[in-house]
Amino acid sequence: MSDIQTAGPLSASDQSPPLNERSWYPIAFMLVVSIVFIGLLALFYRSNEPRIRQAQQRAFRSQILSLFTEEIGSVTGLTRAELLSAEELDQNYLRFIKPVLMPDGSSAYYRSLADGTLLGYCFDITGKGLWGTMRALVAMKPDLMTVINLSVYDQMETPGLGARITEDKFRDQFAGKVLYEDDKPVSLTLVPEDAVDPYLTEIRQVTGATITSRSVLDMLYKELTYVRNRIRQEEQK
Amino acid sequence: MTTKQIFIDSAFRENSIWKQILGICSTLAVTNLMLNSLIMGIGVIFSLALTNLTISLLRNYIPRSVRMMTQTLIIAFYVIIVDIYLKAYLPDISMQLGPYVGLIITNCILMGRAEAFAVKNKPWDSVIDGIGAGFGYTLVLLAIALIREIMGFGSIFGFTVLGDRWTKWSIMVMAPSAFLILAVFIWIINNNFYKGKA
Repeated sequence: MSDIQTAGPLSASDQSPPLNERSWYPIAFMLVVSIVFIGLLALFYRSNEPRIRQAQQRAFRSQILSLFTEEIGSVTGLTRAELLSAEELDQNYLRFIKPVLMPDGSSAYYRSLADGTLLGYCFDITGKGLWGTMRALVAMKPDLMTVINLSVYDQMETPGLGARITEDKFRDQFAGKVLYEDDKPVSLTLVPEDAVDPYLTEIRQVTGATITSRSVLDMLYKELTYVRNRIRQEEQK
Repeated sequence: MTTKQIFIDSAFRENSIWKQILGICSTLAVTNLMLNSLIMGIGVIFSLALTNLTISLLRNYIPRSVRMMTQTLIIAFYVIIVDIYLKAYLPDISMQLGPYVGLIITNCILMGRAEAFAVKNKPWDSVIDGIGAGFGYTLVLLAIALIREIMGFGSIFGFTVLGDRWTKWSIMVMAPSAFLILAVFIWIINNNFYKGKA
């Protein structure tokens, strides 16, 4: 008799839908999944953060040193490979590069010194590209008029088009360019990428990325003029 | 279906690009250089395989109403893991990749395979499907990039092959050329292998 009663109509609790069909289940599921995956991501990032920061710092130091390889080499005899070797990079950076705070304390610029000789300045400049902010390091001779070298180290331009401003072919064009004469800016102009023997004031642009190429020039003049003026003002005090 | 059949189906018969017309944005964007295409392809294969595996493992618990949100979350999770790993352990490669890794999140193929396969198949089969779909995608990218890089830069994987006598086609470096080549590519494949089979 008791067996028959057990097999009778379902009780109210038995009739309730399974867990994954309840109205709150999608919300609870999404919440749990989000917490688990984002938590794992946070853990993974935190555990690797020191390595990432170290890698970024070393990449930045390497970029600055690479701009002054010829100048440092001419004074010390060190080759590019020796200067940028993984083992000696931090030591060489501390030896040849001295960060200096801007007079207003807002940002820093860098001075390159070898055996007490000022080899040049390096500025961390920022500008607007086609898709977002771009940042570059530009090394100038001590006269603050001639470019030693330029390196765009952070950008969000179109891969394969605007992003080619980071390639040696584009950046090497700036080496030796005189940007100021009698303290007045000399305007550089863009010419097609396949232009033969461009003039001293011409830069071969990246094909298909005129706006990005133009942005590099704008960034160079706008930021450099500001920084130069601040340094000159500071020197006159 | 056997593992081999799953792979062949997802890589060739049901190829994401020429059959399903998925992942077109990235195909147009990155195929001007072969190296970019290869890197993008490897990233997609890795992310696809792991995303498919995870979604397949969770398939019986994911509510239908939030399945796409869950899939997007899982895709983003793996892509960001790859990004963090590269930044920490392979910073030089990470620098070269630039925004490519992040672009994988927006690739329709990942969501497409999750919806079409991983939500209703076993984990191992889903991994194979992911690898197959990524492989098929990479092949198409490399085929288009081969034409564009040779004609646009005169090189293959950055190595000059055509010399200075070759007049570089600027249009090949820009996105419109990818539209043209991709269209011709899809037309040739469909005309030769799928004609009359629809």
